[in-house]
Amino acid sequence: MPGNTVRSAFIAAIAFVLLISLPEIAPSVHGKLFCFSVAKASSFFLGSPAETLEDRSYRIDADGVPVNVSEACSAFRYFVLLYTLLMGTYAFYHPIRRAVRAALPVLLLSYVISVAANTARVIASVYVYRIGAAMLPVNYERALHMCAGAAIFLTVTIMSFAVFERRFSGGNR
Amino acid sequence: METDSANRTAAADGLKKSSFLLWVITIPQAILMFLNLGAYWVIKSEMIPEGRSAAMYVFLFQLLLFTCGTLLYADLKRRNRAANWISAALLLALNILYLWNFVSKAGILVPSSTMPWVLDVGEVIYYQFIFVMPAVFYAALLLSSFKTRLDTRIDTGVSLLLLVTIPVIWYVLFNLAFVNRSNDFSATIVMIFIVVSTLALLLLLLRILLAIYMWAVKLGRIGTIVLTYFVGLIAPLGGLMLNSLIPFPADFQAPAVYILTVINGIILVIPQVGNKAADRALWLARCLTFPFTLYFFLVFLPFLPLSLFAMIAAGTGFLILAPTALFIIHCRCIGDGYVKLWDGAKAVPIVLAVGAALIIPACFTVSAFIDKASLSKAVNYVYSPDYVKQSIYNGSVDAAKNALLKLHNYKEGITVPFISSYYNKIVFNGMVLQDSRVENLYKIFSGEELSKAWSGSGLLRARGRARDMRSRNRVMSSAKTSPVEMVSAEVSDAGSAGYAKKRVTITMKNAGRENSEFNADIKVPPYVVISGYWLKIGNELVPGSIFERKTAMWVYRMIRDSRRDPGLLIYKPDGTLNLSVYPFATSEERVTVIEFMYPSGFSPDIRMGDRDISLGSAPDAEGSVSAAVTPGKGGFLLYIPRGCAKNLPVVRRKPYLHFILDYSKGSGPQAAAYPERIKEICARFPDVSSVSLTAANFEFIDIGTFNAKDQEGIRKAIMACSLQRRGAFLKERAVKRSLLMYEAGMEADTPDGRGFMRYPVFVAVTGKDAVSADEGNFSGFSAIVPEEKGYHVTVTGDTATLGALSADKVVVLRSAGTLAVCEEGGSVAYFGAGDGREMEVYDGGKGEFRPLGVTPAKLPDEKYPLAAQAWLGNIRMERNPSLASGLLKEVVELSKKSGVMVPATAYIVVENESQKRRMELKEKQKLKSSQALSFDENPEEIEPLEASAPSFAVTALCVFLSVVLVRKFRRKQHSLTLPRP
Repeated sequence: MPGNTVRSAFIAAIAFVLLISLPEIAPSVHGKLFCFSVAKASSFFLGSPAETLEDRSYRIDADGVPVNVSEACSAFRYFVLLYTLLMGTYAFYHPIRRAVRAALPVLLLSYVISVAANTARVIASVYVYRIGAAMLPVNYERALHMCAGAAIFLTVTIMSFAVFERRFSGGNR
Repeated sequence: METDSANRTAAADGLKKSSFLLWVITIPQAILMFLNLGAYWVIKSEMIPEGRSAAMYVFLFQLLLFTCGTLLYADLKRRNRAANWISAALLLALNILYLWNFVSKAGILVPSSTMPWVLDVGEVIYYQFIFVMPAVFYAALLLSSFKTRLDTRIDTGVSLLLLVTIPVIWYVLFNLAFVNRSNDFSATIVMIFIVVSTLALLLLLLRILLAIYMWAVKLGRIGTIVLTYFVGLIAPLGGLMLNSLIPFPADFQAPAVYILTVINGIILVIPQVGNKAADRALWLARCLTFPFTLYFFLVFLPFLPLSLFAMIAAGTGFLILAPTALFIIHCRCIGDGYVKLWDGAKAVPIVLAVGAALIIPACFTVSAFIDKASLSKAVNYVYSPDYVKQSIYNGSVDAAKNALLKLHNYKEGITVPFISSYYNKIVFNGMVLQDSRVENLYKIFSGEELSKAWSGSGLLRARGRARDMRSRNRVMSSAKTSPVEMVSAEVSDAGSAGYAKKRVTITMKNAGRENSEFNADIKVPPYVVISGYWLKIGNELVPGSIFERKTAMWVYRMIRDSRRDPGLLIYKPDGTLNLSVYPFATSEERVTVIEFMYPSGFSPDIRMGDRDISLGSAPDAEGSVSAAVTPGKGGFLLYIPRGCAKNLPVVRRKPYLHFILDYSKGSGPQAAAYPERIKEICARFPDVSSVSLTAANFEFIDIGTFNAKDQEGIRKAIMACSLQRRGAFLKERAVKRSLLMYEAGMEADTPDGRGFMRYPVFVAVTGKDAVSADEGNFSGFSAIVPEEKGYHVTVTGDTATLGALSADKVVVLRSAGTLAVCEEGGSVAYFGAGDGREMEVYDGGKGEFRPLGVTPAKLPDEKYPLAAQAWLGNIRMERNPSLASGLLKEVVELSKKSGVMVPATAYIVVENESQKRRMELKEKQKLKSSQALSFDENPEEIEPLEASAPSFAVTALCVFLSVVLVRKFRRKQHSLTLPRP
């Protein structure tokens, strides 16, 4: 296996293991870091206030559609996978020392991207729900939300990865 | 060549008759004008000046269409000529222009502030298409049969080519417009292009269908069979399959629809055999199934303009045209059959054809009326009974159960345009028997849950999807949860003249989240009535209006769900008032005012939420008694203030136990166990000397009255009871019935003495798993026996819950032979008869009645006697719900006239005149319908949308795909390979 691939896989694995176990160490990371940001951003774009519920989740009353932003909606796993991907990509093109130095900025970047993507997903879910409620049976709604979420995550990941790789490959692509 | 064209023209010749103009223009336009004027009447107060001008324009346009169509019909008929292409083109242009105008002006015609329950703009537009499209289709059919000099094959080929070209051009244009945004078509040009293309498409399609038909006829029997096979069977079945994926315009996925489609197709495909009798029978069979074809044609006709988009959006979109093609082929089959088989006869074939065509609609209608008869009997027995007279159900219980099961199947099945509403109109006057009530009725008659008996089968049963699609009637859960507090309640005088009027100004504040609702119970004494209600909207104090209670509650819910400004004041079934105001923004303060009215001599305290409010005493002399008499109606209300009541003699009456024995299906104790249970209960109350027994399920039999120690007599009577064990146990209804019978017999002598000197204590004896189905409103009955406000229930020998007997004293009053009992402190006494002139009170010490000593004064003010009449009517309805069909309207009118709310009415504040007008229409509908019916199903609370992120596997797949796609894209575009670092 080529050295850069090994380095990339090594860094990505470390990034993944460290981040995925974060909620075990700090359980409030879902609510405070992700749900809060996503709920506030979604409520800003939807023009409806977000309220804190007892179980540390948030409720947005999007003009007739109550939306719960709870732990299951935090997209923390997406953040972990995105960070893993970006760190792996960075490590593929750069020596390990530089990759370690870039860990924090990439972490922040991944956080911003995943919150933005998740906000877009929540907003899309509201519109999907409205259209679905008028046209489609209830049974289809869940699948529709999943498809909308996957489409948004896929789009955002493609764009992030493409831009990130172009920017940090150092002309070595 | 000329002959081919002539053949094609001949295919449409039958349609050129002038009488068709009457059916496709005059009559539909007349109906549409009526509907549009109705809609205008409802929303005219909300319309802006431009909207009114637009409405006038639409009306004049409709008048023009109506006049043109009718004059053309009259002229053609007078001259005995057929419609020509000029009149067809004129009609086509005018009708399309009308639709264009209406759709483009819809935003002005129906203001955005109009809520869907007041006037649904989508429904209004749908009606325009329903009633105008027949004229468009008719004119298009006439135009499509124009003559050309081309050979038929070339003509058809050109038409086919154009038919394919138009959607292709559209597809290309759509894509170009999507790719290159700089193509800035103005909306009008695009619209013109759409309309012209759609119209051309329609004309071409009709032309091709006619050509294909003629070609098939020319080919002989095989050609006709193949054509009808495709158009009559394959295309409709394909359309139904497409409908299973895209349920547009409705979900038709039910076995009955498929079966009828196949039968109709087969009847069309079967060729004529040459035997006249057999061919005539086949012709009649085609007439029989014609309503089926016609129905689908009419349902899809308004959506015909969408066919172009349907073809662009999905390749199978052309199937939207299947009903149109089927309609044309079916019409031709009947038309040709008529020409071939009836040798020019008119009367007989027409009568036979109409008769055959009416069979399916008639069967459906008769079936609906049979359902109505069975259901009405069951519904009235349970929800509008005469408690005393109807102790045994005089219909067939099995028929009632079957009708309920059928109704349940129908509700669980598909909801199709026109037919479902037609059925609903016949059976329920356009209203709804809620699911919960259907289930309750079934439980009452069968003694088991509906879900256990329901097989889920049925010809109109959908595949589980229709139910999901129907259940969109939901309300926001958030509206109920946040607390809105009452900040202050200030009492002020609002006039007095022998009575008091007090206004309580309530200030409410939202301490919770956005869009919260204020909801509070208000306990008021029975002599205090509500004579006014206001809600502050903006800076204006908007007065409330009185409406029938269920109508007002429905409207409140409708407005509340749209986040507008309703306020509602109602009486709850237990007699307490309930105030609701909505919505409240965070920290918002709102003000509402309630006006209370009560007669002189009273000094009431009310309790609002957890706050006690003293309204202050009414002026005038203490000790006066006020009587509210209803001349000619029978009965009156006597208001006895505390000051007067303290001078009246009181008596302590003797209780007796009245047992209601459970005879429901397989739940209560066995008959042999009852005597022992009764003995145990009697032992707990040694002072009780007599007992009455009633056997009850959903029917009732009085077993008799016995000495409490006569165990043998009780046992024998129970064992001889003929009531069959079945259905559910309606203990509350049994208590109500027995109370009314006790009240009627108070004058009679009993073994314990005079009838009014004893009172019943009801004990329902039942089992652990009793199927109970009471939907009670007990408030109207609690005044009959002031000592006991309800009844006791004992389950399998548990006597601990029975409590102690009351030791309260009461005042017994008499007027012209009618007795009434009221509480010791005085309040309101209801007399079922008399006029209140000769009042007597029972003196227990002397054992006789003596004059009351005070002359009842007539209630002052014009309103109060009216209000009292409304209250009396309300009491009569509560005690005998079978009177409600006639009495409710009268009570509502009296309540409105007096401005005083009664339990059958409600005060509601709405925002504007259009809402009020729609409410008036809804109220009329409600007053004409059975009390058990509602406007819609109970709304389901909206479950919050859990916008859960995709699972880990899906997210990981997304990330993986991203890498693969980006890499693949780069490799392809730039032929780059990753270098080794």
